[in-house]
Amino acid sequence: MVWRKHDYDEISGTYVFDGQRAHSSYALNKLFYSFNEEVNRTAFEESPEVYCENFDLSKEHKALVLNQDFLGILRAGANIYYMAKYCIPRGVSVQDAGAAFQGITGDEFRDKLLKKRDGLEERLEKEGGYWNG
Amino acid sequence: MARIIGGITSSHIPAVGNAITDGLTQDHYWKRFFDGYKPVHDWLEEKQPDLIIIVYNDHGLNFFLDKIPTFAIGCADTYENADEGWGLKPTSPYTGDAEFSWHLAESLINQ
Repeated sequence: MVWRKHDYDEISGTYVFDGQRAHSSYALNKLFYSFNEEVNRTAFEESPEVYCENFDLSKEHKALVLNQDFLGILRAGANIYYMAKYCIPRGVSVQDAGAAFQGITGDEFRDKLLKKRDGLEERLEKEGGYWNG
Repeated sequence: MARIIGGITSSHIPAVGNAITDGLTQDHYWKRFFDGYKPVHDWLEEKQPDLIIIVYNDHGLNFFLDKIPTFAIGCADTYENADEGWGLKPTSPYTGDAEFSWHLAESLINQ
């Protein structure tokens, strides 16, 4: 059997977390999931390399974690909810990930969202009080 | 027989919780968003529902990929929250209704 193809496989600029990704990145996600516990967060801070040894990471995935290659980690199949436990304490938010998908900085992304609200009242009125973004 | 009087939905991105904790609800970036809650608060104040069922997705706090149910029903007396690893400050626990929760679970199983 081979992995089934999906119509979302080639969405430009994003990576859908599905069964195939969950499978290939299981150990990577398990490491991030462990950061739910403060004791594990502290142990990782003290020695990232030693901490990674507790998980059955591939050489490539381990390098991504140690190099803080956030986009690489997403590409490798990290689930955003688990990954956020690793990124946010390092100053990179989920919003920054959204920005990276569009090739702009987090600040530019925020500005873009703010600009989107310009004229919202008029649009709401036109659409009968409903606006889906 | 209970009567369902309404449903309320909200964006639930963690940044919302951070904005509340950091006192940014009236900040330029957030004001419009938080002002949207006002009519909902007023409506709840007026209706005084007996029970509220909260439906949410797990942000990788309770479930890992090895055991991840499509649906799960909490049946506890109280619900604690915690820092999920991204720095949210925990708020006070909220009260559950175990009798109702089990009634709901059993009714759904029986269907």
